Amino acid sequence: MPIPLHEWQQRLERHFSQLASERSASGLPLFALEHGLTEDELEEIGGLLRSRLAGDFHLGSQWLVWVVYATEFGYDYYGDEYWPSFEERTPGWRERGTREQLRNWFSKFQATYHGVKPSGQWAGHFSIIAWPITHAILPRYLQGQLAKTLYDLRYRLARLENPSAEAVGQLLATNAWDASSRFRVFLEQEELAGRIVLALLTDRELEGQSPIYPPTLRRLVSDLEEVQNAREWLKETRRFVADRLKGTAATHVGTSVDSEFRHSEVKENAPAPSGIRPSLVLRRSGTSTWSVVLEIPSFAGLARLYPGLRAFLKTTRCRVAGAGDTWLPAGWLLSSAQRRLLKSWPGANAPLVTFERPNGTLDQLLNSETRLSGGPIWLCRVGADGLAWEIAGRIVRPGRKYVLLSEVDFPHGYRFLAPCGLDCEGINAAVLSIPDAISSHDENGLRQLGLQVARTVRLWPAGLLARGWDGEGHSEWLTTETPCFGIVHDHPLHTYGLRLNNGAETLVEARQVGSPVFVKLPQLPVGTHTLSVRATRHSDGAVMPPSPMAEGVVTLEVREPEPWVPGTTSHAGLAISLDPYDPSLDTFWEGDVEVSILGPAGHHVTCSVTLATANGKPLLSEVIGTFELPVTTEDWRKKLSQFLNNERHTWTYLEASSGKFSIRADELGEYALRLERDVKPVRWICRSHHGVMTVRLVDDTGNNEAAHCRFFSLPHPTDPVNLDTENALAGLQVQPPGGLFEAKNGDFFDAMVVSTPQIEGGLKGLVIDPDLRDLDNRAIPDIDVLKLVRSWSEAHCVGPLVNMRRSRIVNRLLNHLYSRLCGARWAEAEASYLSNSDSGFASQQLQRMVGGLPGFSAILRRDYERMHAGADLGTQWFAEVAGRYQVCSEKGLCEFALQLASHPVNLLLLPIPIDGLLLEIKEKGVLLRGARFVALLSATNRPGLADGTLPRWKW
Amino acid sequence: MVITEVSANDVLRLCRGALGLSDSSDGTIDDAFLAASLRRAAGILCPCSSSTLIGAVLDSLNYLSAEKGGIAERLAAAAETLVIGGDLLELNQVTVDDPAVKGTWLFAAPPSFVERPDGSVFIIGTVPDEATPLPASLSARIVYEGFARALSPLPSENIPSVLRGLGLLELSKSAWLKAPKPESATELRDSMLRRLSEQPPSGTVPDLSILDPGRNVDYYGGRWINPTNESGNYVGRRPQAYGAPLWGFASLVDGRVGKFMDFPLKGTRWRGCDAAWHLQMAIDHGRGTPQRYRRRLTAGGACLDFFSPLPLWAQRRFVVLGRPALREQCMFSYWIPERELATEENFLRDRLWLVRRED
Repeated sequence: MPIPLHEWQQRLERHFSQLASERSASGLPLFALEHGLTEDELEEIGGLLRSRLAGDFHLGSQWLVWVVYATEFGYDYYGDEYWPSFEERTPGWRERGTREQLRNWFSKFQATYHGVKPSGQWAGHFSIIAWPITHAILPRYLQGQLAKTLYDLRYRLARLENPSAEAVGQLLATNAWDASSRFRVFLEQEELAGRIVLALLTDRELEGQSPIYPPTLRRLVSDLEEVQNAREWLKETRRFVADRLKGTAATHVGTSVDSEFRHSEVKENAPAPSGIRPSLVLRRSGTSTWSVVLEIPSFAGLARLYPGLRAFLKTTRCRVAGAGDTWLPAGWLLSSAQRRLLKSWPGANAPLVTFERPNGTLDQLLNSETRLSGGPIWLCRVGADGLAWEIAGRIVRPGRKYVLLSEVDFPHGYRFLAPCGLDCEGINAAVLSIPDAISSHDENGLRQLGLQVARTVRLWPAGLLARGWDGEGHSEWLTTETPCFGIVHDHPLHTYGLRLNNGAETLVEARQVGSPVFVKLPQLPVGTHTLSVRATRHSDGAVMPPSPMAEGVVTLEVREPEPWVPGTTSHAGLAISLDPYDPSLDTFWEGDVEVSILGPAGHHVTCSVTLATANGKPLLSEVIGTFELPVTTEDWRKKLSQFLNNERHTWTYLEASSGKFSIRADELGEYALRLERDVKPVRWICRSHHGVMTVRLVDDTGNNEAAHCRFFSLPHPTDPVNLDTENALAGLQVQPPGGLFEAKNGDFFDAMVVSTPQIEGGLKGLVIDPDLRDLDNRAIPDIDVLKLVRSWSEAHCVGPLVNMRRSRIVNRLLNHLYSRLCGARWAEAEASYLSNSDSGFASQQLQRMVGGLPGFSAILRRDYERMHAGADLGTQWFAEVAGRYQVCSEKGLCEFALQLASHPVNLLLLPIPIDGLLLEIKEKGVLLRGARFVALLSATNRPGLADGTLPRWKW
Repeated sequence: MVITEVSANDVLRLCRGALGLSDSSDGTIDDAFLAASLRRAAGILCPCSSSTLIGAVLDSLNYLSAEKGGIAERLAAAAETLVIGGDLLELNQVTVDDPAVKGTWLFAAPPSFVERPDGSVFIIGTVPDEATPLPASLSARIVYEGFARALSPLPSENIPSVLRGLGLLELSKSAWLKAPKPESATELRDSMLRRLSEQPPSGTVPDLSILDPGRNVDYYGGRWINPTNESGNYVGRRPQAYGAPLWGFASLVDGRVGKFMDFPLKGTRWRGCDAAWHLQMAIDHGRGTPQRYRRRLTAGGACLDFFSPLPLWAQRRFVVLGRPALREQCMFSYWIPERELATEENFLRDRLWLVRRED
């Protein structure tokens, strides 16, 4: 006989009371998923609850059963929508239950049993569904991601000094930046994530108390191991970390580190190496000429060390000192190490890498870590491969060849020095050939140049090549490696005294001249270490005087290994640039992603995209295009546009929750990018069924107030119609030809332009001519016109022809705005030029209409490409021309004019008195027309935004 | 004791462990060790030149082997084999530091695999900070075939699916074995002659060496000469101020260079040496002295012995379809299973214009 619901309620009350009591000493929170019910029991209570809804019964008396029931939906949640599945499988809920009620029951659970309370930004934005999803601990769709993240971080996990739940959680939260946004939200609950990881990897009890009810933990582990590859990832991770997390001293596959050493020998207060120190290398560019190349390590490791830095790096452009004025794309230093040719000598006084925007943490590191070593001379040793790497210690050896760089002229009279050419301004170069035998006179001469001669002891990494080895003492190692060194001398010696950091000296008997000895160091912890070797000449222990002749010193910078991330193209011959660096699925589908790919000629790359539903079911897998390398942004835009114009793709996109963009170049590798929907707390979703389009509002804010919804039709894009929120939540059929749907609830906002497939009036109906008369009839202020431009241009788009139709509206709005600001005749001339930009007459007409002194517009026309050098330099140029021709002497206003002419919507985001500035600029018609003239020339010369109305300058 | 004195053998043993190779206590440096060292160095140094890579590994092996000059030669051969096997990519016309300068560099290939006809997979590529991109359970099963790495599936194991799941890129045989478009020896030779004739005069090319088609096709090394009074068109190499000599096609009159065309040709993906070797095969075929190979029948297949280098795209076939074999009085050998033998001999005849030597 089935157990009635009230007994289930009592049983669950007893269960959670007992669990809460057991856990009270530890302070650990409880999760509703820790209900301890079997699959059959869950099915049974589901049936009982549904029957309860069918009758007219009070629901609150079984609140705990409802909490468990809702939590199970959270466990199966796939990151898309919670309520449709809940309501569909719970008939009667919409009529008899409320979301608010469910939130109250979860709150009651939290208060009664010390249950977990959702926290963080995501919980704030999704204030109701955050409860069942958080109480589901680790929803199924995040389980594979957790296993993969643990696998990627296995080295770091294995070396956590204090593997507490907090430390593990923090490690995951800081380093899982490649994960999906929902997974990152899960990781924001650092302690919770840490507890699950400890339980998954060690099965141990924490302070005698299991962090999760054991049957629930077994369920999680069992489900997790069902996910493809997760079992293998977990197994491998456990192999690395199990012992360490259990608290033994072993650090890595059976090798132990002397504890005394661990605590005493790492340099006191020495910061962990940031790993961003650039290396200087010279490369031959002619028989007696060299080029200077700077090799900059990837900043990915740094981004792992400093939370928040990654977001900055992927959105901020950088510049390399001495390598020209070009700003390098955002994210340039995140993918792999980079090299840049130096055209002018940057000197040692400034950092070699600078970013467009300031960042406290990074600026400090750049200042200290990315400078050249102190000048005025730099020494580079010519290797057997013809490259000359910098020797930081400036030590020369007999019989070797070097290139010496100097900021000052070389003194005369050095017979080893022969001037040579260098393709770098501001620095002199000479080849330094050290003879096999050096007299004391020569040695003094070299010393005056700032160099030292080493003769006795040579150390080198033996067996395994050391990273960053400069041949004279600087090396980089991984925590997983056992460094070995060879030591050899060319003068009779008795012993070597070796010392690691400040540890005790180890004496090793020296062999005969020319015979090496080898020494092994233990695996070293992260940090900077020093291995010094002191030579003893005689058996009586007489030590040679300290000098480079008698000592060898090697610096070992030790770091954690960087795990390989599939889908990245580190040093495989492909240089891929994406702008923005990590677009959403919506941004990608609207064609707002610029892609360029550099690579070897003769090779092809295939760009493709896959789409999937919320539960991972594949919807589409298609090639966007196959390109011959290199791929320019123009090539890309052309193929993407063809792809996006395919109506079939449009409908599939509407169904998709996520996607993957990949660039595949066979043996050169593959680049893969996860594409996710922008899931906002308030959002429109659009579906098409048999050609009929419906939009539906999703409001997950949990606010008591209803969202405010408006609609602007495509033919009347400035005339809003208020929508009934209840109807919007239930779903609205889109009337042809469609329009802009806006919704706002509190601080949350979403807008979507929908274009329907139905065409009214035959082919003519393809093009919709927007009616903007309302703008003048209602005397709408300029700033509101600008806001309308923003609404239309920033909304996401769905449906056939939508981009073309939206562009037309945005262009017309812009033309209207510029008509107000620059005059109606100017706006007509702009439209005429845009309709035929190849026409010399139209461009001359524009040039004439700029006004002011005739030379002003002529110079702008001649030099407008200077704007492509970057916003700073472009503004500087424009302001200088405007000043010279007495158009405007205020640089700030010149910059405002350029922004208004090129990216007007951007101005709404800036903390500036925009109303006042719009009035001021109207008084400076020549300035704004000049700025628009430059913007139009630039936009039509290089395909610009909004069908060539706006240029692609970077602000 | 923190710092320990160790023997050269100990160092090698530690290295083998770090490189994911089985222990070998006799202190010998085998091909698998050289290949693994080069792969690791490539993960650190690439993009770089071949000499940088070889030089760096050579320095780290200093004093560790009694084999003096031999190691350098073996490393050079290993690097070439890694290029053929796809672990290293020799890419021309590629930009690494200066967008305005395109050069030829070695790159470390990303982790990938190619499925073989027998169901095993051929593992390609390196990762910078790890000996292998594979988890321990799989890397322990890797079989080293000279410089190459292969992985055989366990019963009922779908190894391609496992590797794809781990993020390795699956390369189709057609993509990986991509070869130039089929053409006859005459077509290739004539097309190169036409291109050479369109070149401007080259001026003096000092220290040119050429492949003399008149010399024994079975002794590649003996075919290289410095021109004295030769006239005609020759595959050759010209030294450059820095870097390895460049491959090309030269037109000579009385030993003096009239025109010189550098290989690789612009817009092609093949290496300069591949283009040169292929052209020499066409020239030799046209002269009635085609290059030759030898077939030695063995259990389950045959060893094909070669006396001159083969282009990369041809050798890759044999790496995938067969495996490198110990050479016997030849330049190199591959073992090919019986079922593939006829197809591959046809390939040698039709695409490289080789004939079988009957010993």
